[in-house]
Amino acid sequence: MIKAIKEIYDYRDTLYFLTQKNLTAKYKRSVLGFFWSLLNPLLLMLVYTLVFSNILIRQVEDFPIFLFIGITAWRAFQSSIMTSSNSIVGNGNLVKKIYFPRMILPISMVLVEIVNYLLTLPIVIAMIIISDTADFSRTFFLCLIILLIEMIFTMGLSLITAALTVFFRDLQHILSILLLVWFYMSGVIYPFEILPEKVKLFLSLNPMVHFILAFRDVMFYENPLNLQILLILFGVSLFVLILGIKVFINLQDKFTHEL
Amino acid sequence: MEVIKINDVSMKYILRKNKYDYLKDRILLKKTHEAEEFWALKNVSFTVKKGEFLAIIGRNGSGKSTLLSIISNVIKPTNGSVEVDGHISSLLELGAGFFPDFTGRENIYFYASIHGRKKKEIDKKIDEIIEFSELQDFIDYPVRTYSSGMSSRLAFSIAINIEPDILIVDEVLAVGDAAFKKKCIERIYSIRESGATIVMVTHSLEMIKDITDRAIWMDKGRIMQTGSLKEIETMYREYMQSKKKRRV
Repeated sequence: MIKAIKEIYDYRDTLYFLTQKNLTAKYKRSVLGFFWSLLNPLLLMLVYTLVFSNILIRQVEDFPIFLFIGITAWRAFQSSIMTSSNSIVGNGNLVKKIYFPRMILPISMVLVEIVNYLLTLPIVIAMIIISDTADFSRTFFLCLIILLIEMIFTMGLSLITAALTVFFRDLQHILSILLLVWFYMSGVIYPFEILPEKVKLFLSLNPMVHFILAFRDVMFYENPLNLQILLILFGVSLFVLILGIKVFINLQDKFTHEL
Repeated sequence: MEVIKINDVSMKYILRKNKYDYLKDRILLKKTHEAEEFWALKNVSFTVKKGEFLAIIGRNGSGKSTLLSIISNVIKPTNGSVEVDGHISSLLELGAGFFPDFTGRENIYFYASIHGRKKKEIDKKIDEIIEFSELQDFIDYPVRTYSSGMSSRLAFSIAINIEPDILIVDEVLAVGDAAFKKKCIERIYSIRESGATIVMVTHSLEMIKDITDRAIWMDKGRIMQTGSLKEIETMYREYMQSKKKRRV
């Protein structure tokens, strides 16, 4: 496993070119370019605000900002998983013809989403500053830490789905359904606290709940970070990443036969 | 010094009736696929010395391309071991593996970096690569707009201009016009002179007859004979003739 990680480091230039190209491809080929990636969460925010305005808006002040924080954090996770799961299958021609560490493909997809998230972050923070007084640099720094842990978790899962999709082509469709259920179980569009105790206990096994809560603590409520939970999250994420790398390494030699 | 060591390599393919597996079938219908085994390579062993030019010949389906894929580390053999010492640049199929939405220039960077070149080295080489490919006017257009001849030229230019220690070439001289083909052969000659090792699968024996040190003849996944290109060519032709006669 150490060897595999070292190899990715040796291929860092390839990873850099690939990520850069994926980013420009993402923005260049649509008319709205970069603004499309902003427009999407903004539209979602608008829709949910309209839909839930009567039910939830009284419980949460600044409901649109509350939503936007959750939506962007969720989107970084979901897009990474979905694009990664197609990354090996979609580049079959490349994988069959040249050797390079295959892990680069899903990892690059996650990196694209990290950059994408970072580009939306200033908007969130600007919104907070307009509506409130907040310490920009502190908020930004804490966000980076949470994002880092979330992306460790995401990368682990992305490696697993990327590898498994090669063997089960319908996994992508199954994933999109699973992610939809997961979305509603992650407290993106409602405050987690309003749930009944029993449901809360069950859902708190879901790491995404805690990532979104942490982002809101930092950006929305300006609470101090719960270090204990952050450490547990870090441990879980690291475990998922190691698991992901192991699964990927075990399966990657069989990729070329299935593509 | 031996830079490629192929030791008792065998390669088994599983041939399936339906191409892909679905989770749905596995779980709901408990269906497993019908499969047949096929040995593309059986107990192949040979070594290639540094600076050697090795030609591999044989009929279609004799395992030549599988062998090159194994040397290039694209597939892992079922049995046996492969040791390769040095930077490999392989052209297994021209143009396959380009990103269609990226421009020619972007693909050069990506390809060269996959072959272990750093950004600075590529910066230095890129003009030479573009010039060799004769694609100056198209290099900033996406590769999907290229004709197959153009992407072949680009792939070839990259592979032979990044100064590989070992160059693996599969049948690629069949494409391109006569002038470009000649240029490629000349470049292969000069790469060879600079001390690189070359392994090539080809049917155009005439073109490589002056630089081939050794030839391997393969059939049905086995090595039939190893020797000088002339000997092997004669044996191969006689064998093919006898096959034809038998059929008649």
